[in-house]
Amino acid sequence: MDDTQLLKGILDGCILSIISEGETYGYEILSRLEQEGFDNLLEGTLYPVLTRLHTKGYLACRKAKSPLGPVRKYFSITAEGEHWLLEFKESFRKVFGNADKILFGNEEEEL
Amino acid sequence: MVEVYTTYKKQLTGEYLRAFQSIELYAEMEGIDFDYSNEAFVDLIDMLLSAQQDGQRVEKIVGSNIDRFCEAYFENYTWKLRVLSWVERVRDLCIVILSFTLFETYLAHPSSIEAFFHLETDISAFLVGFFGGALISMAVSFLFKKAMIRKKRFSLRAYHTVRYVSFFLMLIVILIFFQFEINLPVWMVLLFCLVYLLGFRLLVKRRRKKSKDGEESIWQQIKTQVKSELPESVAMEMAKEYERRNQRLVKKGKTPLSQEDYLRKVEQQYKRSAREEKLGWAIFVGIPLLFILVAAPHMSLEDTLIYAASMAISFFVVSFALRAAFKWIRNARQMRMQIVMEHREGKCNIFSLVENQGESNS
Repeated sequence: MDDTQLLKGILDGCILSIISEGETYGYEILSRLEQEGFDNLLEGTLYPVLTRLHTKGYLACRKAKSPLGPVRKYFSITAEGEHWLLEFKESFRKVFGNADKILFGNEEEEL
Repeated sequence: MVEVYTTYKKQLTGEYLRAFQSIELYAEMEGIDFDYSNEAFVDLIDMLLSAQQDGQRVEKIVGSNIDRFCEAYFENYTWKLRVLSWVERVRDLCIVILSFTLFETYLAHPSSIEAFFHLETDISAFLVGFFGGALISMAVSFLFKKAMIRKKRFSLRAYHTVRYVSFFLMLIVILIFFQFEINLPVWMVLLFCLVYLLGFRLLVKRRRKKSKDGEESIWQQIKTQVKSELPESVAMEMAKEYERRNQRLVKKGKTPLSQEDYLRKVEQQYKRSAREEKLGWAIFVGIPLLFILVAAPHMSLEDTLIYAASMAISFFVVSFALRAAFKWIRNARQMRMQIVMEHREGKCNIFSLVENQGESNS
């Protein structure tokens, strides 16, 4: 089954949550997402998500030369971003908590 | 600092380079503006180089489907940005056409308002041919792109070749139109350009604007980079100028300037800048006004108005260049003044720069 649609709804929150742990950059975010099992699902969505979050003011961006040569963007979360992330986590808990009951509630009862 | 992605593209190898070239071709074929794509490519190359260094597979960055990657990667480049890019290109073209037509009108010296409305522009054939040729060029590129997608054979080199060929086709179309006597009225061309430029100024938001973090557009970055590299080169130039002046004075048998005298001359030059600029503008505006005041009693009202209008239009066009020239002179003198102040504060030693260069050369 294609998980892309499911992922699109929560990607912003997941990426912002990773960035809230400390200043980071694109490749590091990608590696972290891969470690958590989100590999091959992104396919180019990381860059537009970072751009979108930055435009909305949830991320601050600092440019610095990377060891490999190109100028690298380092992202950190802003106060606005922290506030949005809190709200997102609350909504996520509520929505997926309810969905979990609907999807898996009957199975647990049977068990 | 301005980063142009092509500088780092050379570091990519094998599958990373192939993947990047595919994405580059996608951006070209989609007509994505360089200002937008350059920033996107610098970020992408950084990720690809990191993956290459770690020995990771390229799929980690671009996934298993390059087309889907490209669509997602450039999803923020909406049709609005695309249209805005074209609107800006037409704006630039309008500025060129307006300047040329104004100059043409001034040279033609229409003797009456009626004569002005009967003037025809010499670049009519170019205008008609250019737009016709541009349409043909776009159609050729579009058809080639479709053919590449249908046959699933993609090549950046082939696409560039077709673009160059279609550009030459465009030139041929323009030359063909020159054979016909197409005459567009000057007033129509001027009106169109002025309305377009005014409309652009009033209605279109500047796409190249500073973000909240103070990020600058690529063209702002170029200006900032040039400015930041200037002080060192200007200081060196001042040191060499001091040496050259003294060599000339010594050859003429005169006393060479002391370092303090030289610094004082630079300060005086800076203080004179504002006065000289005002004088320049006064002469530029005053001479035509004086001419009109002196000649007006000997001309009819209609002729006076036409001369005044044509001078005003010429003034408007030339004033852009004059303003840029004065600004350049002002900035250069301001920079020299700043260097003199830093020299006096002991932050740098202008005159040692030439000595240091002499030592490093030997």
